[in-house]
Amino acid sequence: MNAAFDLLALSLYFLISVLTPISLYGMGLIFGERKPTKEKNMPFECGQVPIGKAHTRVTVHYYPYALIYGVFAAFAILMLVSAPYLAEFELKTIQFGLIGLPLIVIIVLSIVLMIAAISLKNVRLWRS
Amino acid sequence: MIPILSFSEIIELILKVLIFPGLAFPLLFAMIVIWFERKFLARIMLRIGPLHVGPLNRTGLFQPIADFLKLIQKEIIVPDNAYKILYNAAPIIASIVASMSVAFIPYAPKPDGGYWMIYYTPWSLLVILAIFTARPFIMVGAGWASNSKYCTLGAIRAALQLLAYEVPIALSLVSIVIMSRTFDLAKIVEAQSSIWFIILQPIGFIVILIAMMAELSRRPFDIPLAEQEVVFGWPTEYTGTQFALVMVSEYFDLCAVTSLITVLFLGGWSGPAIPILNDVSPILSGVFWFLLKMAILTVIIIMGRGIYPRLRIDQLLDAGWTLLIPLAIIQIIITLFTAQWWIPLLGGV
Repeated sequence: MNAAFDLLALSLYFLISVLTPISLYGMGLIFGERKPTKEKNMPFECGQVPIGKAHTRVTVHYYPYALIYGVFAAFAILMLVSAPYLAEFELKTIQFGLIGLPLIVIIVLSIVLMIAAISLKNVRLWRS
Repeated sequence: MIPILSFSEIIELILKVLIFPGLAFPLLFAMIVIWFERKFLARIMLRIGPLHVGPLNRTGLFQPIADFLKLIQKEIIVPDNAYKILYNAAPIIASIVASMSVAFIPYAPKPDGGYWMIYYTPWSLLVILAIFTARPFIMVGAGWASNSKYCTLGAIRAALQLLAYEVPIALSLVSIVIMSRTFDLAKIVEAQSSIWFIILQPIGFIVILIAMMAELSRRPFDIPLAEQEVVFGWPTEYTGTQFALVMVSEYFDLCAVTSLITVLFLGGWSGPAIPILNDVSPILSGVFWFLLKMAILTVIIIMGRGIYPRLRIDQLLDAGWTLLIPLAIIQIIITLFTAQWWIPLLGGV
C-alpha cells in the first residue's frame, strides 16, 4: 500500500511537472506576438550577417581531459559501488588483526589517480 | 485496480504533489531567490535594485512576477536554420529534469515512521546523481540545435565544465556513503542525528560546495554563460517563455542542489523541536530547520556572484582536476582510516 501510494504520488508529480512547462510554452505561443522577419530569424551575432558554419570545433588542448575523464568516471563508479562495504570491511580487518587486500588496492589506486590528476596540468602544458 | 484512499491520504497526496516538495515549493523558491539575488547583489554593489513593484514600500517584492508576465507576452523567435524540434523541446525537457530531482529528497520525518517525500526509494542518492548527470546533454543539445556560433561555444564550454566537476561530486559522495553505509538519503540524515557530516568531513563539504557551484554555473564558474565573451552561452537564442523556462530550470536546480547538500552534510531536518510549530504538526519543525539550512546555503552560493571575478576556462579545468579531485580522494582516505572511531557514534544505522 505504501509503495503504491508513493508510486501514485511520483506519477502525479511527473504528470504535473510535464504539464506545467508545456502549458507555459503554450501560453507564450498564445499571448506572444508572431511577426517573423528575415533579420529577426537570423542567428544572433550582434547584428552581423553570419559567415561560415556555426558548428565550430574544440581545440585539441582539451583532448587529454576527455581521455582521462573515462578513467576517473570508472574510478568514481567503482568507489561508489564498493563504498557501503568499505567501512564494515575495515572494522572486520581491525577486529581480526589483518590488513585487507582490497582496502590496500583501493588506497593505492586512489593515490595513483591523485598523482595522475595533479600532473594533468603539466601534461597539458607540455603538449602545447 | 485502483487502491481506495482514505481522506487523510488524499490530503497528504495533494499537499505533497502540489504544495510542499511538489509544484509550489520549487516555483516559490525560484521566485524568492530571483528577487533576493537581485536585491542582495544590488546591496553588495551599492545599488538599490528592484524598487517599485510590490506591496511593501521600496522593496520590489513582486518584480519576478512582473518579469514573468512580461516574458509571456514576448515573441518566441525560432531562428531559421535551427533544428526546430530539439530547439523547442530543450527548455521544456530542462525544466522537467530539474524539477524531478526534488521528488527524491526527504524533507521531514513523519510521526508514523515514514518520511515526508514524494517517492521513497533506498537508492535515492544514485537516482539524484543520475538526474544531475543528464543536465549536460540537455545543454549540449540546446546549444547544438540553436545552430549559432555563440550557442555552440557555450555548449562546448558547458560540456567541458560539467564533465570536469561531476567526478569530484561523485568522489565526495563516496566518503558520505562509506560513513553512513547506505545510498538512502533518509538513512543518511538519520545517521547525522548526533554529529553532522560537515564536522566529520569538512574537506568533502568544501569540495562538494565548490563543485556544485560549478555545476550550476554560478559566478566564479559561469564560463558557459559569460556575458562578455559568449553573449549568454547555450541559451542565447531563446526568447520569451522559452527563456523563462531556462531560467526557472536553473533555479529549480539550485533548489535541488541546496536540498541535497543540506541532506548530505548539514543534518537535513535535525534540530531542536519548536513548540509553536509542533502544536500545528510535528512535520513543520523539521521542515523549518531544513528550509533554514537551505537558505544559508543559498545565500553562500549567491554571494559568489557579487564578490568573485570569473575564472578562465583553463584555470577552471585545472582547478577541477588538480585541486578538487585530489582533495576528494584525500577525504576518502581519511574517512577510510577514521571511520572505525566515528561509526559507533552515528545514530540510526
